[in-house]
Amino acid sequence: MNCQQFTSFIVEMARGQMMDAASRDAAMRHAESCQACAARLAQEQSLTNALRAVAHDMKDASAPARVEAKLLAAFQSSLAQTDAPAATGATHAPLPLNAARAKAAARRRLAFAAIAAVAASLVLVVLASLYVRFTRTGSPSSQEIASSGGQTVSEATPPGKESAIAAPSPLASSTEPERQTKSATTGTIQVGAAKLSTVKQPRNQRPPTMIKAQHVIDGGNAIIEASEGETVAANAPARPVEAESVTEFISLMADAPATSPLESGQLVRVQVPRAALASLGLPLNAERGNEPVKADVLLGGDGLARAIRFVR
Amino acid sequence: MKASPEHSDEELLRLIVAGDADAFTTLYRRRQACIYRFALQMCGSEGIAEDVTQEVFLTLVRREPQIFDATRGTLAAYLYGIARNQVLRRLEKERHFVSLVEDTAEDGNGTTEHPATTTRHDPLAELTRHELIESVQQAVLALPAHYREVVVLCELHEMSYAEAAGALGCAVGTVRSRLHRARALLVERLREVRQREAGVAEDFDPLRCFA
Repeated sequence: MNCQQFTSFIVEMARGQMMDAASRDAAMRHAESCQACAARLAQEQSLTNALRAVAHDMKDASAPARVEAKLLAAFQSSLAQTDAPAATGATHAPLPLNAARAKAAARRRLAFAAIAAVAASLVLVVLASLYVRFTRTGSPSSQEIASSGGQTVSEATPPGKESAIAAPSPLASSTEPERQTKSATTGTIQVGAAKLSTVKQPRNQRPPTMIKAQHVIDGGNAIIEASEGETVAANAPARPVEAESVTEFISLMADAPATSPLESGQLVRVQVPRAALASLGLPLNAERGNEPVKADVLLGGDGLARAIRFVR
Repeated sequence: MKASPEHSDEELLRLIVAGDADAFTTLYRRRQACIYRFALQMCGSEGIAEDVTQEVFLTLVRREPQIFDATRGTLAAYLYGIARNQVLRRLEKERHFVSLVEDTAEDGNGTTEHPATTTRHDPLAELTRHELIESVQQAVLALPAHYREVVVLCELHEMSYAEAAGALGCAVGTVRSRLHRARALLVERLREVRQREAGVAEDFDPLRCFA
């Protein structure tokens, strides 16, 4: 056995561990012949003795009796809780032993929940303000629509299918656009009796300039079904500040000999001289004759003004 | 079945899960001292050792049957493993603090550290022995944790390599190599202590043979 092999056995030899008898004899013979390895072995044995002295010194050390008492109380408490969990509804109530720790944990949880709630409300406020700002500044105004062409809606259905025309209910116009699209028919807009319908406009919402137009004719009544931005609610009471009253569309093509069917159109909010009311046969208040009046003009795909409605 | 000291740890655990308080007491009294000593030797504080012991047995108080898997080792090794995790966690916490006193004779709670003396007959021998034990304890506490735990388990608790490996969750070869390295570090530290005290290093002088 050489010194390197001896080193691999030295700890086990110093600790007096069980080892192969032949290896042990060989190691002992090496220690007798090598002074340095013998010194190392003695050194390791001294360390082993010192460690055993420490172990012996601490052999009687044990946990204080109060630990056992606390644990037993906790055990009994745990038993009591599992015996009647349904009655108390507390399946994981803190043990008496950990009461202070559980309270601290509950306080931490509460603090975390409060911080989370504050953060969530902050995020909501920011989002709401962004939404309001977007709806105020991001939506196009009537002039912008007029300049940019507004929203174009096209619908082509076979001619000849005329349907009874009535203002759709607000719910239908807002929630069932596809069904309404299927029910739309095509035709030319004819002059109808000016009939006011109320456009209910939510607070801080854009004016009803964008229309998914489904134009039909029925006995001279021109109807524009509205959605996305305006809700036609004839029966809803109009609030003086938030609501607009509009007439039904009045055709501007009544004298035209042949008009191509309106397949697409744009609705543009404009201001016209109040005298235009009289030219279309509508009553005019002479006292306000010099004031302009708002109107929505329906432009056809060919760029011609097809119909107009007045807004109050 | 009523709990008795003849029951094995695993049988007692089954009784504990079934709600037997006597079984809990029996198991606690059987195992608390070694868990307490392990924690005390690992961190050198009676307060921490007490807390660790309490935490270890609280896992049994919860009486969850799935906490212990008998196929992975003995219950004693399992309890040592919990104690080890608790100790390492606390050591990690306290790593960021610096002790103001070199030799902590008293902790913050006013409890004295564990006395390292047993004999009371010969004052000189008692002093020498006290100094030796104290210096060895300090040298053990100064070891890195992964070396310290193998020294505590294999040397102070006289565990075999296999038992220590079961408690530490590592291979037997790892325990053996760490113990060799830890003992070499201990020899080195004790030699430095001896040098400081006597000014000359005679004992514990590491030697190297090239024969």
